Amino acid sequence: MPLLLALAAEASVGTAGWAAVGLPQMGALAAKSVGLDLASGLWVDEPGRQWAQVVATLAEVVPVVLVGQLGTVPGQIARRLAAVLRRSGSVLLAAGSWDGAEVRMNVVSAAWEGVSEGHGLLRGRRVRVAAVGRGASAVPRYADMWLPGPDGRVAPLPTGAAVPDGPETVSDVQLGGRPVLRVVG
Amino acid sequence: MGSRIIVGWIPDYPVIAAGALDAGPIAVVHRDEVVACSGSARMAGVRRRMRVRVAQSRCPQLRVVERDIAAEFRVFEPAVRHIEDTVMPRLEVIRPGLIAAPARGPSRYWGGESHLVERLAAALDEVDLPARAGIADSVFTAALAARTGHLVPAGGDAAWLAPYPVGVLGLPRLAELLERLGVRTVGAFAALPENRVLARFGVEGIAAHRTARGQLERPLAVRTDSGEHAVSYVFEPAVHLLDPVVFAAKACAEQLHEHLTAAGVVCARLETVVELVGGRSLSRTFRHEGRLSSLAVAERVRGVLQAWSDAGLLDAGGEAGIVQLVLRPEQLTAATGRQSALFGEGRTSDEIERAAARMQAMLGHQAVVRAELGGGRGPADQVRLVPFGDLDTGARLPDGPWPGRLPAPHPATVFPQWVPAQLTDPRAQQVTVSGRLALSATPDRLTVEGHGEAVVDGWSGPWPVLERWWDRGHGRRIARMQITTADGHAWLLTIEHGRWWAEAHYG
Repeated sequence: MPLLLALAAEASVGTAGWAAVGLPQMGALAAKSVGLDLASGLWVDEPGRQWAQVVATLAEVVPVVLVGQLGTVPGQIARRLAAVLRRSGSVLLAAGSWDGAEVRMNVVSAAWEGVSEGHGLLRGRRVRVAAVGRGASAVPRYADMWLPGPDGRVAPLPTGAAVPDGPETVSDVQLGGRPVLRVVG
Repeated sequence: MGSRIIVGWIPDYPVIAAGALDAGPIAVVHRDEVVACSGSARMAGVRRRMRVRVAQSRCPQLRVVERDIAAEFRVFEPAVRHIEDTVMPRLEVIRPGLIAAPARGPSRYWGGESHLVERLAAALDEVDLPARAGIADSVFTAALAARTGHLVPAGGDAAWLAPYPVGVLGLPRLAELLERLGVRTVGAFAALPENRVLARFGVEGIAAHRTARGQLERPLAVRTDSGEHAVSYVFEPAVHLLDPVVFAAKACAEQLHEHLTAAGVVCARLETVVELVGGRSLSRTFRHEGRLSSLAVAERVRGVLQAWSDAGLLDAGGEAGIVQLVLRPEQLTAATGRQSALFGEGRTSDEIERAAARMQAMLGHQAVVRAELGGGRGPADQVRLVPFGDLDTGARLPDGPWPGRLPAPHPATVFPQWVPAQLTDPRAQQVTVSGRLALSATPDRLTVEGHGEAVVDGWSGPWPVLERWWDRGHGRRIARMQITTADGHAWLLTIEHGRWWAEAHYG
């Protein structure tokens, strides 16, 4: 979920808004601190059986659409949504599995800092994120970063040791106009 | 000569609508302000427009009820119908508990104004509402006269109003200013020259000045033909559910407001007509005065529709369904410029608003929401979800210090319902928290329902939260802990009554 929020924040910078479908558990405070503008966001918590229609309607006009675990996505609906996304240029970020996603990202390892045995407060989380694309970019690329950092935002890890890609990959991946992303973790 | 207007007034109507007039001191509040209170609460010193906290300090056993305006309309509707059936056919609802009607015709029918007043009070008495009524030349004077049950003679409004303090005009800031200027009574205010009042107090001041002189707030428009501005929506096929009608009402109201703005007029009243299958139609008139937003109109329509539906009026006579909704503005006057609401206007584009409206039509008005942040301690308390397009009118927790609030980073996942969890020590016994906030043992394993078991890696807290201890129904006493597990997750755990819950997941 933090990864989803970070991607959404990055993707929605300078756009007209964003929407979250089927994500009633999304933390608004975390969304705000990672950089999402709450005032321009829409929540559709319970799309019910009409979720495909809801997502399609939103994808037509909203530049960034986040979807939760909506169950299996039938291939026909996925193709139709992909067509809508291509036409409108919107980005779809799915928290669950999504067939035909351009990029799948997940957190492969994570460690929280700040809390030890009986004292302290959560400060931030160091993660390693893997991104797997399709076709030529099917080789996983890794990036280490704070997710979230001490101020709630995403920041590259200063160490940089043996990290092939900087955390900028996160933004590169989706601002490249790829329509469908899949996020796990 | 001008019109005669009768006003019927039901004291403390919001309290009656809340269904608790005799059940001890009670106050109906809206936005942290007392709207109405019962007699026993008034005896204890509770007054209208008082902050809730002040009211509670004066009357500790006070029960506080949040105002539900749609419910008030719904409860009031049968009384309105009763008056329509038994006293006079045409009246308007200023707000639930306050009705106004032209008095000339009915008073001639009932044999005099005093008979009409008695008749109205008796009719409301029949539906168990204690009412008073008064007659005067203007609505404002009549409403004031209703409180004492007076009949103000024709042309005598100004003289009758004169001894009242300026506070009755209902504009606290203007009243305060006038008092400082030494103008203490309505009569003294009315004696000021009109052009000076306009220059000094603006449009609002001149309206109050007209009221003080016993005239209508705005001059009546000669043109009464408002049919050209009526907006209607035809349902094909007829609908049975109320939601589509309310949705259409909102759209119609928007269209109507656009028409009126384009024509440079405002309407004093808005008549809502619902035509049913079989040619029957039901109508209700609301006071508008250019103050209602399209959403407020929709809310009123919803309240009335609900009442009609509860009373079985919508499906009487076999066939059911609503064929058409008409919104007809009445008593148009030139718009003198009232600032439209600036709040709650999102920075969203028209396209997104249209998409949101389409989804609201599909899933219901409450299904599409936006989030607003406010006060509160827990991660869920600080977020308020407001249906898209609505103003945030609910009781919002104030900003200000909230000791016990957790600092950033905030949890990315906040469970709408707390998830049951188990926190155990190395001997597989549940970890408990004592009254002095000491843990019974070192936490070792954490199991969150649906997320499996993990080894506890670090913890901090517990921090106590003792909320609303003064309110037995809503008070809660919990303690929060942050727990990290060896597999890289962090949880916000809560213990309440000896049971552990996962309140949120950091990631």
